[in-house]
Amino acid sequence: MSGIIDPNFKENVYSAVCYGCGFGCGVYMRELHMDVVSGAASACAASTDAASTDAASTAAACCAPILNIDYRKASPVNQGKLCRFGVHLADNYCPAVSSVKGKPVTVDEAIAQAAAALKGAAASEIAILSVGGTTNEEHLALMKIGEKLGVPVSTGMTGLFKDIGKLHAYTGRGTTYEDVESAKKVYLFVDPYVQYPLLARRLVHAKEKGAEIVSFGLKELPIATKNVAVKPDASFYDIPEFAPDADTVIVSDLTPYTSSKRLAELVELAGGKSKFLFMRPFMNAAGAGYLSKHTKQRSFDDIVSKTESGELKVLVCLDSDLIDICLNEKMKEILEKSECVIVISSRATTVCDSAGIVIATEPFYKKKGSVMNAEGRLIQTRAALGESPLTGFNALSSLSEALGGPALDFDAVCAQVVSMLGASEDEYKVSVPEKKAPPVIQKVSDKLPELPAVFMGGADPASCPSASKEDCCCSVSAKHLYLTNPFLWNGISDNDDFVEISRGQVKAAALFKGFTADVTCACGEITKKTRFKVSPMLDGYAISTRKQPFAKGPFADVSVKRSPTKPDEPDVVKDCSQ
Amino acid sequence: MSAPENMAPGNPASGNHAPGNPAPEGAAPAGKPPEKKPPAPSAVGEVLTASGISVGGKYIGWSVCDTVRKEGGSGGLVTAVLAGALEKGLVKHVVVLKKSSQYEAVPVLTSDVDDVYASAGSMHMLISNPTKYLRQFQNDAAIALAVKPCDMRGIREQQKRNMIDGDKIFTIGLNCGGTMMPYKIRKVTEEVYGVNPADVRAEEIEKGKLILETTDGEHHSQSIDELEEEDNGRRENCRYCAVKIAMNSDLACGNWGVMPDYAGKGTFVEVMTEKGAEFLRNAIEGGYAEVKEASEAATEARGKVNGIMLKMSAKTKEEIFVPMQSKTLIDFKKELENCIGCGACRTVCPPCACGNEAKCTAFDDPADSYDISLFHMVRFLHLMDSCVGCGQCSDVCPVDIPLARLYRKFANPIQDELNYVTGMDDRTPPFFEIKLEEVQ
Amino acid sequence: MSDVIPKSAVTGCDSSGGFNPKIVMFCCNWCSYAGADGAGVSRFQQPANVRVVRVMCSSRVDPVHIYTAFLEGADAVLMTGCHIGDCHYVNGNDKTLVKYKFVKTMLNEMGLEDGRLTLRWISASEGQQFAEFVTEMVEQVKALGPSPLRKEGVV
Repeated sequence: MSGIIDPNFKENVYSAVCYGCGFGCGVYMRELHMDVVSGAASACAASTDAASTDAASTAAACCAPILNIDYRKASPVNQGKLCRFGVHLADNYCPAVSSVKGKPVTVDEAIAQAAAALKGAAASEIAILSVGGTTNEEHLALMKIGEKLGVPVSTGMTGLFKDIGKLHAYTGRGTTYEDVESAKKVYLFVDPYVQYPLLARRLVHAKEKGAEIVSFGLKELPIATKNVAVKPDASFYDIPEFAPDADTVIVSDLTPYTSSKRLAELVELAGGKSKFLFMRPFMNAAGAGYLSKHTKQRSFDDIVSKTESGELKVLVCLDSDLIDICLNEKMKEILEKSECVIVISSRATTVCDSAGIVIATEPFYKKKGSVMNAEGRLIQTRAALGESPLTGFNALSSLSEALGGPALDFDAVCAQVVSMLGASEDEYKVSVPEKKAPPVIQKVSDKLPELPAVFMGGADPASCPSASKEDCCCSVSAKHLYLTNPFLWNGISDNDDFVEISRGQVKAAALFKGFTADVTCACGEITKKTRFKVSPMLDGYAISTRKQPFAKGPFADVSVKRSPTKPDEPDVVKDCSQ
Repeated sequence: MSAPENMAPGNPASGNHAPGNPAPEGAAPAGKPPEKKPPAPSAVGEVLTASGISVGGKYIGWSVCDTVRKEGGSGGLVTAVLAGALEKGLVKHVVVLKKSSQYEAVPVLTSDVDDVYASAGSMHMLISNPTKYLRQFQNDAAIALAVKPCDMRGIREQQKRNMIDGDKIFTIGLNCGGTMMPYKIRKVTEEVYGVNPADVRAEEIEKGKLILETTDGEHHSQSIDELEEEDNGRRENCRYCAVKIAMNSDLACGNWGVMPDYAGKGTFVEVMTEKGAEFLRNAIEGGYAEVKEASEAATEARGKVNGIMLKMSAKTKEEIFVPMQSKTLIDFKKELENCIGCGACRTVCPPCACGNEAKCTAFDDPADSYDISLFHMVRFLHLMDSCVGCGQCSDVCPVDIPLARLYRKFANPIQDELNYVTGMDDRTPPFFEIKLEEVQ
Repeated sequence: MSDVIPKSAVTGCDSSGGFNPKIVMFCCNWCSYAGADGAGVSRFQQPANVRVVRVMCSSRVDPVHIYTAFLEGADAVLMTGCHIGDCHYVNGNDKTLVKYKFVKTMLNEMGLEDGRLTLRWISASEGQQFAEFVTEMVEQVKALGPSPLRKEGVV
C-alpha cells in the first residue's frame, strides 16, 4: 500500500456473529478508516490480497472503510475458527442503500413511504417476514410493529410445526455442540462439510472419542464411520440402520425445505429418547423462531402464493431475502409484480433490487443485540472498539411511531428478549427454560404431505413437454438437488460452479475429466458446458451447491450429457455404441 | 516473577509475554528498586546515560514512572520504551492489545499514548500473529510493537519478500515460553481451578505454574505440566518451538536473568540492532526509563533458562515427530480428508507473501476430486523453508487438522539439513537460491 | 496420434492386461528435447509410456506442474535438462537443482516412492542416453506399480 495513514486514522472492531448460517460463529470485524492520500489505485490493488480480506476490492470502495475479519478465539461456539463463508465474510459484505422505487433516498424518507404503504393496506393484505437474519431485538421490534398492525411476523418455519403440533418440544434447544462431541452415536442428516462446516470439527472430536457417526444421505462423508445411502423421498421407517437410542444425538436441520413428514418420522422414531440438534440456516433463525413461537403466522408457501395472486398487497422483509431463500427465479418476477415490497436490510441482497422500498440499516457486524444459535445459546454482539449506531433498531422504532405506535426503547426490548427466550445472557452458558413433561408422541407422519408445491420448481414437470429421449446411450437422467449452504442462502457465488454426480453416472455419460456436461432440465431448458465433479454418492442424483440455471427449484429432473467442446473433438459416441 | 535459580527444569512457560502487553502484570511494589545489593545482583554499576547504550549491550531496565511500574510488572520497561517512542515521534503508531476480558483481546493500532499505558499486563491467551495485520500498513508511517519470537520471524520473512518495510517497523521482542488457547484455559478455569472465568482479573506464569488472580485478590495456581498432560496447557507448536528469546527483534526483553533483587521490578534487555539502541537511548533521554548494565550472573542465568526451555522443546519435538511408518501417503490423506477448503490457514500464515492469486489457490480447483488437494501439496512445499512454526494454521482450522505439525514434518528435515532457522536473520530463503551449493 | 481416443482410454483396459505406466517427462527445449529427437532419428528403441512436455528450460518446471502430473494420474515424472554449465539461460538448471531438491524431499516425506521423480541431464547429442533413460525408468516404475496418488477411476 503506497498511501499514508492519515492523522484521523480510526479503527473499529466489532464482536459479531457470522450471518452465514445459524451455527453462531463468533467473529471480529475490523473497520479501518484509512485515508489513502496517494496512489489510491495501487492501494486498492494491494488491498485485494488475502491478508487484508477486505471490501475495498473495487475502485469505488476506496473511500469506504477497509473491512477485515479477525478470529475470535475466545468464542465458545467456534473458538475463532471459520468456514469458507466466514473467512470471506468481509469480501462479500455489500451495504444496502435506502431507496424508493429504485431511487436512492434517505432512511427517513424510506420509512415514511413504508409507513404510508402499510397504513394504506388492510391487515389481511400485509405479510411480515423475518427468518432470523438479524438480532433478536430487531425481530422483537418488528413483532411490536406487527402487533400494532394486527399482522403476525412469519419466520418461514411455521409450515414445519403447524402440522406436527406439539413436536416442536423436541426441536433440540439445549443440545450443545459439546453434546455432539461427547455423544456415543451421532446420526447425521446434514452434510457438515458443505452445510454447517463448523460442525465437522465437533464430529471429528466425537470420532476421536470413539463415537459411531452414521450419515444418512446421498453422499458418502469421510467423517462418518458408516454411510447409509438414503434417497430424499425415502421414509425413515424403511431404514433398518436408523435405530436411535438414549446415547444418540440426531443432527438434522430445519430449513424451509425440510419436509415435515421426514421431520415427524425422525421425532417419532426417536421416541423422546435421543437428543436432537437441529441446525438452522439463518443467523438468528432459532431466536426468531422462539420469539415468534406463539404467534399465528403465515407459512412460506402461503406468502408466496398469495403474493403471486395479488391477495397480499404489502410484504415486509426484515433481513430476509425471499428470492435467495426460495431458490426460485419465479420469485423475482412475483416480487417485481407485487404492489409493495418493503425490505429492511443491512446488506444489499438480491431482493433489494426488486423491492419497492428499501430501508438500509447498519452493517450486520455493527448491530448491538443478541443472536440465538442452533444450540439455544444467546450470543451478545457488541462493539469491542468503536460504537454501535443502532440505526436498524431506531428505524424500526421510527416506523412504529409513524404507524401511530410507541417509540421503542432498546434496553427495554433487550430485557424482554431475554425474558421471552428464557435464556442465559452469558454466552458461555446454554440454559433452557424449564421443560414441562414432554408430550406423548403420536404418529402423525403418515398423514403429512410432502413439500408444498411452491418449492417444487419453476414449472410443474407434468405440464412440461418431456425431455426428448436421447438417441445415444451417453446420457443419464438424474434428480437434481441443492445442497443448501451459506453461500446459497445468501445469494453469494463461490468457486463451486459444478454439478456433483457419481462415478457410475460419469462413466455412463462418458464424461471425461476436464470436459464439461450439458444439463437439460425436464422442461427442455439446456445449460451448456457445466463443469462436473465426481463424488462418492448415489447414482441417479445430481447435487449443486450454487444456483443452477437448469434447476428452477430445489428439486428438478435433469439429464446429463457430455457437451461437445472443440470441432476436432474425438468421436466418443461411436466408441460407446460398440 | 520467577527468579531463574528457583526455576526447576519442569517450569516451561515461565516468563513469557504476549505482544502488546509489554510487561507482565505482577505485584511490583511502587517506588525505586532497592539500592542494597543482594548476593547475586542483576545489575552492576550506576544508572547509565543514553551514551552508554550500544548494540550487543545487555541491561536491566525499568520505567521511571511509578504507575507504569505498578501496572506493568517486571519494571514496565517495554511500556516505557513504546510510550517514549510514540511521544518523541520516533514512530507514528503503536500496536497494542485492547482487552475485553482476560481471555480475549484484539490488536489495534493507536497513536494515543494512554492506550499504550493501558495495554500493560501479561496475556498468554492472545495467540494471534500480528504479521498479516501489520502488512496492511507496510509502507505507511513507522510503527512500533512488542512481539513474540514467532511474530518477529513472520515479520522478517515478509521483509525478505519485500512485503513489509523493515525500516519502518520497530519491534521489542519478548521472551516466550509458549502461549495457550483461550477457550481451553477458560474451560480449565472452571473445571480445574473451580473459578468463575468472569472473576479472573489477571494471569501470570510463575515457576511452571499458571496463576489466576481473581477480583477478590486470591491467587489460584495449577502446574502447567499437569495441564499439558490433558492438552490444556501451551499450544502444541509452542511445546516444540526452538526460539524462545526474540534475538531477531530490535530489543530482546524479558525477565529471564532478572535476579531476586530486581524480580518484578526490572526487565532484562539485550540491544540487538542499532535501531534498538536508538529507541532505548530515546527512552532514557526522554526520562521514560532507566537502565543499568546487566551483571555476568544475570546474563548467565538468562542463558540457563533459555537452555532449559530449548532442551524441553527438543524433547517434545522428538516425541511428536516420530518417523512415520510405511504408507505415509495414506496417513496424509487421512489427516486432510476433512479439509473444507476454507483457506484460513493460508490467510493467517505469517510468512505467506502471495496475494489472492497464489500458486496454491490459482491451480486448485474444488471440482477436481483429487485424494490430496493441490493446495495442500503446494503449501507443504512452500512452507518447507518458510514455516516459522507459529501454529496459527492449526488454530484457525475449522476441522482441526494439525496443520502446523504437518508443515513442520516437511520443514524440519530440510531446515535442519540446510541449517536454516526461518525468520531469524536476512538470509535468503533456500528455495530462492540460485545454486544448490549456496543452499547447503 | 489418432483422432479417436482409443477405447482403452475410455474403459481403462490395457490390451495385454498388465500395468502400463503413464510417465510425464519434461524436456528442455535446447538439450533434452533435441536429445529425444536424436533418439527418434537414430531409431533407438524405447517404450511408449512417456508423454513428453517440452519446456524452454528445465527451471520452468514448477513444483505445481509436477504435483498436477501426479494428481492427474501420472505414475512417474521425469525432469531433464542441459548439463550443468550448458544452460541456454546461464543458470536455469542450477535453479532446477534447488527446486528438485525441495520437491524430492517433500514427496519422499509424503511417502511417494523414490523412483517416481527423477532428474537427469541429457544433452542434444545424447539420443542413446535418452532412450536408455526412458527404458530404465519405465522398468523401474513398472516394478513400483501404480502411483498411490492416482485417483481411482483415472485411466
